[in-house]
Amino acid sequence: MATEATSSRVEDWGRAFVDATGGRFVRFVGVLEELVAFAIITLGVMISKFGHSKRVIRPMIWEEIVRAGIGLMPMVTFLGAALGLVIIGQTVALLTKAGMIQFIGPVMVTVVVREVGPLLTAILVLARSGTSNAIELGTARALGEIEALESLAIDPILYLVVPRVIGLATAVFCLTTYLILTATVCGYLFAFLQEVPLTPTVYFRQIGDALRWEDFAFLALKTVTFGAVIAIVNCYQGLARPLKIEDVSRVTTSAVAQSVIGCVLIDALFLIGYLLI
Amino acid sequence: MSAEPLIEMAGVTVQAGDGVAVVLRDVDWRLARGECWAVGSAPGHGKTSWLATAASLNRPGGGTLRFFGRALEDATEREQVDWRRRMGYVFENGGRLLSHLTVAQNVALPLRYHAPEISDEDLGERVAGLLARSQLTGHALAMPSRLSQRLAQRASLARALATRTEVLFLDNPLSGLGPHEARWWTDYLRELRQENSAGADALTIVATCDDFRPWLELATRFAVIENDRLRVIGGRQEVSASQEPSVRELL
Repeated sequence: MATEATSSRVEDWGRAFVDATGGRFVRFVGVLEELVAFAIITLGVMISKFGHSKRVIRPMIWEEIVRAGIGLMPMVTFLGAALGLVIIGQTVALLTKAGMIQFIGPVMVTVVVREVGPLLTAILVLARSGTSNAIELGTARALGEIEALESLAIDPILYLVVPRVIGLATAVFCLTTYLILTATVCGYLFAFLQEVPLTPTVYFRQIGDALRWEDFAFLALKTVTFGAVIAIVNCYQGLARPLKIEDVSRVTTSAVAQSVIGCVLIDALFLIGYLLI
Repeated sequence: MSAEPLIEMAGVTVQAGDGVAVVLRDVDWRLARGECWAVGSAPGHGKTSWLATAASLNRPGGGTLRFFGRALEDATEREQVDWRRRMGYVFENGGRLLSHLTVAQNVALPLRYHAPEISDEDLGERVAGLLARSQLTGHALAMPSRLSQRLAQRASLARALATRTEVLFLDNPLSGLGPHEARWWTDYLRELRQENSAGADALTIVATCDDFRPWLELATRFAVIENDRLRVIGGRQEVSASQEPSVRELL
């Protein structure tokens, strides 16, 4: 009897676990489907209404670049310097001991250019601009401003989403490039302070030799995709369905979680790309 | 006054904004150029949903809805955008100004978006003129959150009139306003109609209300919403003479 009861309880737990996991998976697929549809609609508007209302849209794109990009430069300078110091600090001692000082450049390229730089910048932009976009658009939706735009025959996707997508994609690309340059220079400064026998010419040549053409292509593609994903997810959460003002904090939290997951998944895809080439 | 309808509803089912709940059924209504309609009911009877449907902001749940002679279901996106450019809409309770723009930027937005040919100077003059007529010149650089509901509603009217508006939809514009402000609105609307009283430029107004009295001098046609139906009462004389309880309540 006792064995049967235990077995039945295990079955119940198992079923509950499968239900919960299955439910989450179905919800995840549903959200992913809606996000892809939203991204396709946005892309469609970008193409079909290219150059429409430049007088309104262009300043908004610039405003977004300033807010997400130029506004973040002090923070990126600080993080770039810290990243350079940390990576060189951790690796110099190790590589010197192993007599492999010629690998400082490749380490910088592999860690900063390919992985940490783009991802760290994307997360910074998400924290600073992505969340504010979700809050702004969620509030606009809750206050009925989207209907007001429609009553003025203004396409909400063109007016609210497209500038954010272009602005954030540009900002993430530019900021990542800036972060990489800062980290590289600060990395050398730290190596110099540590009296590592490495001249600037050798250091930068090591980095130059370690860089391949696909690093530039993937860096551009990856950062632009990160920016676009952050913008799409945050705009989707803010706009896609009717909201009340009390829902705004909830959708912002969802937007952050989904953006991080999206960026990490895209990073994994690019990693596979690196391995395949 | 032309007999050709600008907007025509035939057997239309009006849905709430969520697109699920049915608010009104079998609505038959025609809007001719130059008319001024006051559509009244007690609160919560679906005036806002009906007005949004009449302005093509809500999709009807059934029936035929025609704008400028073209059925909604046959219209392309471009045609629908063109209709909306010919229509202005003032929302209830503060007018839903865009919170990230100043009052002047809100008023300028439809022109900046739709009329790239207008120079910055002309645009500035037009916006300044609209703000001056609405007595909002001193609030041009204010953010909407700083405005009272009264001023926000006026700014919303200025925004709705920024383009060449042929049909002006007003969602309960006098709701919550004092008698002085309500008088300002009716006087302003009368002036607008007198300025554009002839031919193709005649301004047509459709307003919802929960009190017919302020509209008796201005409106030319009246209707009431009751029991899930919209019922046309007629002109001023018919409304004033009506003994129906639903009409008397609004007087």
